[in-house]
This record gives sequence, C-alpha cells and structure tokens, in this order.
Amino acid sequence: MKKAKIILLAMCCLLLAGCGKQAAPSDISSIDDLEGKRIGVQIGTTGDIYVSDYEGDDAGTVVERYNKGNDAVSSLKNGKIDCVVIDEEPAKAFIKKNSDLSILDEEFTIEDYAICVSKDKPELRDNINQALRELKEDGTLQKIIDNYINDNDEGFHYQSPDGLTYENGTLVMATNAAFPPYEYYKDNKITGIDADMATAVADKLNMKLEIQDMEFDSIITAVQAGKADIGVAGMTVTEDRLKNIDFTDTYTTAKQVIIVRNGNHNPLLSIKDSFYQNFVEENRYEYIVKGLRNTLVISVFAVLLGLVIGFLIALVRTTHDKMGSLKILNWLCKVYLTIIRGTPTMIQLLIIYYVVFASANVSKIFVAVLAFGINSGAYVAEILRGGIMALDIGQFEGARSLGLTHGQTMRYIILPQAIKNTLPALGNEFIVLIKETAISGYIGLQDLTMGGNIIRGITYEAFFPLITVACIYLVIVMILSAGVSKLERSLKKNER
Amino acid sequence: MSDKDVIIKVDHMTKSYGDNIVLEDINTVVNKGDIIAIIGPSGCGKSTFIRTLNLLEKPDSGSVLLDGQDLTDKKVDINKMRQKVGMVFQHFNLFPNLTIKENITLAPVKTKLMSKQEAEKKADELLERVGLSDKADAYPDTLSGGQKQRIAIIRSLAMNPEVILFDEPTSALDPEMVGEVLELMKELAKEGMTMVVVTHEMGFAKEVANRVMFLDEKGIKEEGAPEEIFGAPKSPRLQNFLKRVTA
Repeated sequence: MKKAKIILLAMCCLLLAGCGKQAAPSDISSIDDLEGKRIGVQIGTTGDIYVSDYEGDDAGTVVERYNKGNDAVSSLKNGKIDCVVIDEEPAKAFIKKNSDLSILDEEFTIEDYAICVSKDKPELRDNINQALRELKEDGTLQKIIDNYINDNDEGFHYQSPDGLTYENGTLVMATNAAFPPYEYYKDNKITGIDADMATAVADKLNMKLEIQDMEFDSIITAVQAGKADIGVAGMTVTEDRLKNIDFTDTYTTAKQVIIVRNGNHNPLLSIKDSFYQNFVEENRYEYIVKGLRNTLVISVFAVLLGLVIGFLIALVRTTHDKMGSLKILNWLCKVYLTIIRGTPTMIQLLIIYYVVFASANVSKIFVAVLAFGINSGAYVAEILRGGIMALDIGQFEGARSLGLTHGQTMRYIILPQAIKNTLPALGNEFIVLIKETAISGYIGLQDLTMGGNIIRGITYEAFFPLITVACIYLVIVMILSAGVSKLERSLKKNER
Repeated sequence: MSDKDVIIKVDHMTKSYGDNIVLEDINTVVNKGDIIAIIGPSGCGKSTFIRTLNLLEKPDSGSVLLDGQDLTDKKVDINKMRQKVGMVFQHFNLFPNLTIKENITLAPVKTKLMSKQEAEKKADELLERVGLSDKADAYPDTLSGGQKQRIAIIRSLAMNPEVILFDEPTSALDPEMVGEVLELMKELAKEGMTMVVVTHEMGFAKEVANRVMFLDEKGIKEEGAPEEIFGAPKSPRLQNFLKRVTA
C-alpha cells in the first residue's frame, strides 16, 4: 500500500508541474499566416482534408491530427500547436469555456453538412431527404438549430410527437459526441443539433433513434458495415467520402474557422471547483462508474475465455509434441498463434467488430470479450505450453507407467504443476489484458478510459479525469496482483 | 516350463534413434518368478531395453508380448497393459503436487482398479510395511532419496503388478541410502515378485537374480545364471566389463 501511495504522489507531482504554464499567443492573424505553423485538426474531418494541402510545403507546415476536437484544443492551450482548424459551432463552444482562445474573424472555408447513408440503402436516403424537406418547410429544423446556436431562449426543445409507435424499428445513428453544439454529452445523454435533427427525422420515418458514440474516423466504416444506419456528425460531403458512402441533402451550412491563442490568461479553477466540475456537476461521475462496470465485465470474461482457449491450445500443442498425434489441430493452433501474436490487439478488435460481425447485431461488450479473450488465449497457451514442456519428462513417464491415460496424466499430474510454475507469468498476462481493454473506445464501447475521455471532452480538463482513470486501473491491477500472490502462496504448501 | 508362465516375450525387437541403432534383434522371455538383472557398460541400451517392456520406448520392429498380447499392436489398450507392469525409475518420478498417500492411491483409483477406500487401506498397509506411515500426508520434496525410492516402489506395488521393472533404482542415491532400497527389493524377490532390474550393483545381481543378462553392442551378448556370468564369463567383453566394475 505504501508503494501505491508513493506512485500516486509521483504522478500528481508530474501533472502539477505540467499545469499552470501559459503558452505564448499564436502568431496567426489570417489564413496567410498558416504556412510554416503547427496546425491541429480532428482526424478525418473536412478541416483535416483542407489543411492537408499545406502539409509538407516548403515552409515546413505540420498537421497534427487528433481523435477529438477537444484534444486538439487542449494541445493548442498547452502550446503544442499554433492553431486549430475546426467547424465554427464547436469552435464557439470551445472558446466560451476557454478565455485564452479566440476565433479568427476570417473563416477558413464554408461547407455543407449532410447525413451519410450506406450506398446499399438508397430507399433510406430518399426517405430521409423527404423527411428533411418536411422539417425545413415547417420550420422545425431551423428551430432546432436556433435552440443551440443562436442561444435564443424561447425554450424550444424538440419533442417527439405523442402517439408514435415506431413500427419501422430502430434507426441507429453513429456519431462522435465531442462536437458541441452538434453532438455532445449532457446529463449522461448525447444531445445537440444533430441528435435532435436525427430524432425528428426518425420520428418522420416512424423509427426509434438509437445513438452510438464512436471515434469520428470510425463513423463511415460503421455505416458502410451496417453497424449503423446513418452517420450524423457534422459531416461535410467530400469526393473521397462519396466513393464509400452516400449523402442525403444538406441540412445546414457551417464554416471551418481557425482557433488561436490570444494571450489572455485562463483563470485557474480551484481544485475543489475542478473536482465539482469534473465529477459532481450533471452527475458526471456516472461516466466513470458505467465505464468501470464495462471494463470489469470485459476483463473478467475475457480472462476466463483466454484461459479456456489457452488451456485447449496448450493441450493440443503438447499432446502433439509428446505423442505425435493431432497433426492438423496442431497446425491450426500454430496458425492461430502466429496471427494473434503477430497483429496488434486493436486491429483484431476492429476486425472482429467491423468485419467478422459486420452485419450481425451483437453487443459491443460481447465483441470486446471475444476479441480480448481470443487475444489473451494465444499468450496463455504459450505460457502454459512452456510450463508443461519445462516439467521433467519423468513426470509423464511416472504417470503413464502406472497405467494412467494421457488425459489423466495431464489433469492430475502435469497441469497442476505447470499452472503453479507459470502463475506469475499468467498473472502478468491478465494485468496486460486488463489494461489493454482501454482500447474498447475504438468500437464505441464506453469503458473506463472512454468514460474519462467523455468527461474530458465536456470540461476541457485533463487532470482529474485522467488521474482518476489511471488510479482506478492501478487499484484493479493491485487487487489482481494481490490475489495472484495469495494463490501462489497457497499452492506452495507442498514445497519445503 | 509351460507357456502360461511366460509374462513377457520379446521377439526380434529392434530400436533405433534416427540412424543410431540401439537394440538389434532382441529375443528373450521373462517368466513368472524371474529375477532378471541386466548389466552392461553405460550407453549399451540397458535403459532403452527395459523401457520397451512397457512401451515407454516404441520398438521400430519386432514385438513385445505381455501375457500373449502384443504391446506394439495399435488395437491393444496400452494403458490397461501398463497397469500390469510396475516401473521404478532412477529419479523416482514421484508427483510433487500430491501427498505421499495420494501418490500411491492416484493410479489404482483413477484406473478403477480399486475403490478409494480399498486404495487407501492398501496404501496404509504398504506405508507401514516400509516404515513410512508418518509420511502419509507429507509431500515428496520433504523426503530423503532413499525414502522417495521406497515410496516409488510401493506406489508401483499398489497396482498389484505382474512384474516390476527397475531402471537403475539406486544410481541416484547417496551411498548410505542404497542399502534400504536394495533391502526392500530383496524382500520383494523373496516373496516371489517377478522383477527385471537394470543395475550396477553386482552384489545384488549375484545374490538375488536367477538370471543375468549382459547387454553390449546393441544386443544381449551373454545370458545365464549369476554363477555362470560372474564365475565363468565367456566373451572377452564381459570379462573386461566385470574386471572394470569389480576393480
């Protein structure tokens, strides 16, 4: 426990040292000044596409791509980049909370937002276009936009008409809810212009809207793969995107603008206020709680699945090595081990979600358990195989000479010893697995890490959300390590 | 001697590792009540030979018959056959994850030879016989080498085998522990247990065995009663070998 306190203290010191420094104002007053600067964008956005033209020019312009708009803004505040090119409305929301940032008057470009739909569903696209036309004609769309953008406090908030039966099922919308005012988290719900507009469209289609939050650059893939019916995330129609996906008619126009540092000081929040803002306000701690629950569920079942797979494979491989049988199975196991250990876990997770279960409607938790379990199984298998092969061959011979079968020998003699000897390595593998689940956000699964990121996206603060998430992982791993040590001690009773 | 007294019959058996022929055209029988001592220089294939008798080593050709059934036949249930052949190893091969008593009862119970109660009763009797009753619940790692080997012997006895194979049972022991193990083996011999023993203990071979085999250069070079082998060795190689081990 003392060790843990020291570690925590060290982490806090590091972070505090990074805080409070004020970066110099950006040396940018118009588009012409962008050359040679470090420009931040959200990956896959139109801002990214336009700014890419500057990349690699003679002036040495650098484009930094971030998964979320607010990550780009945080980097700008810290002085890691000189400006951020992003959609106007999110930019306004960002500067509202950060007095040290401002938007240049000169816009970067003007663009149209539309909803993306799979090319396989022209009918859905036509229906949405019809619904959009109706919403434009009766003024609903403008009211929704005004409610968020022009701050006109008429108290309008889109409400689904009464008596809807949703007889046409659900309409799944993929979005990246870190893009206020189009889509963002409020009171543990995704809200914003896009969310309201999509609800209104879904209501017209007599469908129930279901919103899935994911990385921006995953949205088009999700719609293509049928994981979601529509993608609504302040998306601009571009030629590249049209190659893969269809767009509906435009529902609003927006500008790309440039955010810069203005040299003002952002008043520092007291720790108490900061804590309140990150966890208490709007019950934001619930993001962490929900994420923790998902992380624990994924970890527990993935560890179990990994153990089962690992055992089976280790048995096949050692049986083949000792007895010369099971040639085909052994070959399959080797192929599995090569592929799983030779590719990144994140890619495996994405492949299982977007390729293997492309059209099937399966729970994301299930996909994550499957992906992490299959991944861990490969490592568990090799750890166990090592433990089995390291045992004195006399153990096999002693048991077989007494008339025990190969299976009985494994079960009563070999595996108990192999497990005992490999317990530290197995414990290590489980620790790695638990921390690896932090990439679950890539399939839009709200795990512990993503829970912290959602809060970070709302409050623009790194300290509390990140430190809290880190501490929770640390505690989980420490509990697991303690459990493994205890098990090790109890298995050591037969040693001198 | 009638055929039903033959326990093991080895017929034109050959064994090699890759290109290296270890045993060539071995023919012999083990009769009920035989105490056979196998001697020979190291590397001559003694261990390989005795391990083919329960198929821990697979012969390349020829056959090993146990009670008339060919162990190399794929249709024969090798696990069933091995229950009839006990084996004691140079390095004991006790199971460190099980208590002494569990070491003894595991095989009889799991092969359904005995009920758990029967096996435990048998284990208690055997432990008492070798004077190690107080070790019943201890783990193998707490025992001395001599104690371990005596447990290994009664572990194989618990299966009521027809024959016990001993593969250099005293070679890994400290000198002062050799005696206790040989003593137990002599007792078994007196009781009429059929035994095949690979050994370097010439005294034991002379005193206890009714047949001695001299293995050298891939085969059984001389075979006979101990007084013939030790008293009147025919081949120069055996004479040489005896001179070296008794020097």
